[in-house]
Amino acid sequence: MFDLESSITAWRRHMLASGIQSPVPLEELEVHLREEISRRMEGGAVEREAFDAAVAAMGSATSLKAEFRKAGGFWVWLGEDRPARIHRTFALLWLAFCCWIFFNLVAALAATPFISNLRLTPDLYLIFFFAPIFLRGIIAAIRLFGGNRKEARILRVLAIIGFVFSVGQIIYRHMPVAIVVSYPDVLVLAFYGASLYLMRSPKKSVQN
Amino acid sequence: MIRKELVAASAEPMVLAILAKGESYGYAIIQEVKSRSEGRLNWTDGMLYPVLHRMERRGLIKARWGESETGRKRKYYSLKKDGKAAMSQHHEQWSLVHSVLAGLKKENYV
Repeated sequence: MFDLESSITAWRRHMLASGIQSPVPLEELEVHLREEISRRMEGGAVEREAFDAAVAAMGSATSLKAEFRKAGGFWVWLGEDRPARIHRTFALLWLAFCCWIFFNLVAALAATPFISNLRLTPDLYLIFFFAPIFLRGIIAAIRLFGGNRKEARILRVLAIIGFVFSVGQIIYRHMPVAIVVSYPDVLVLAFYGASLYLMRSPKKSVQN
Repeated sequence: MIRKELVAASAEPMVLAILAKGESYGYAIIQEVKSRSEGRLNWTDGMLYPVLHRMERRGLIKARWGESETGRKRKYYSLKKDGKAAMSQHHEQWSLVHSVLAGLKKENYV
């Protein structure tokens, strides 16, 4: 003798065993299944027929699990497509980078007794020059992560400044002897280079 | 029968357009698509829910649990501001595809 409730319970167990999570989305799927069974029974189907047809219309647990996996998780959180994911990844990297530099600059400023003697040294000029730039970088990275792609331009300008500054620093550090590029230098230059290349503006279509 | 790639590509704009009329739930959305396409857009019922969840995560729609008139539990979906913007973007793109195809067809057959 067919029992609808125990059949639905068995279907739930099968879905759970196949990896469909409870309460969401399994609850929602069950609600749908019950609506479909009711509709079919109102149309004249007997319980068993209605149940079998509704289960078949729902789709297999394996394919459902695969679709739900695509719909959720880290990659969907990071962005809907590849450019969005690249921009958000670089936004996070730039946020960390700009915060690190900005707070180091602020710490250096706090440690400088310039207020007492009111003398601005070249180091202080550099701090006052770079601190607002990296603060703007922090804001741009946050906005870019929020989806404002125009902010990528600010980070690309920062990458150009950083690239030029780093190359200058490497040359200055090793002059007049042979220039040796260390691993951290390579890493920083690669970061600037990758930012410039991967966050470049999309090509505009040519109009006749 | 319509190809599954086209069915998959049209799922999001369809859902957005249906929700633009007002709050709805999974079962009703599927029934509306089936009825409007006279059964030719054949969605596998369960496949709608990953689409809805993805759209919810992307901030296009929002969901709330409620009850039907008969007391049955239901998850209702409605459009968010970003969803409205996405809908007009979809509309624009699908209209462009339609007009290009229609133009080509006219040139070939008329």
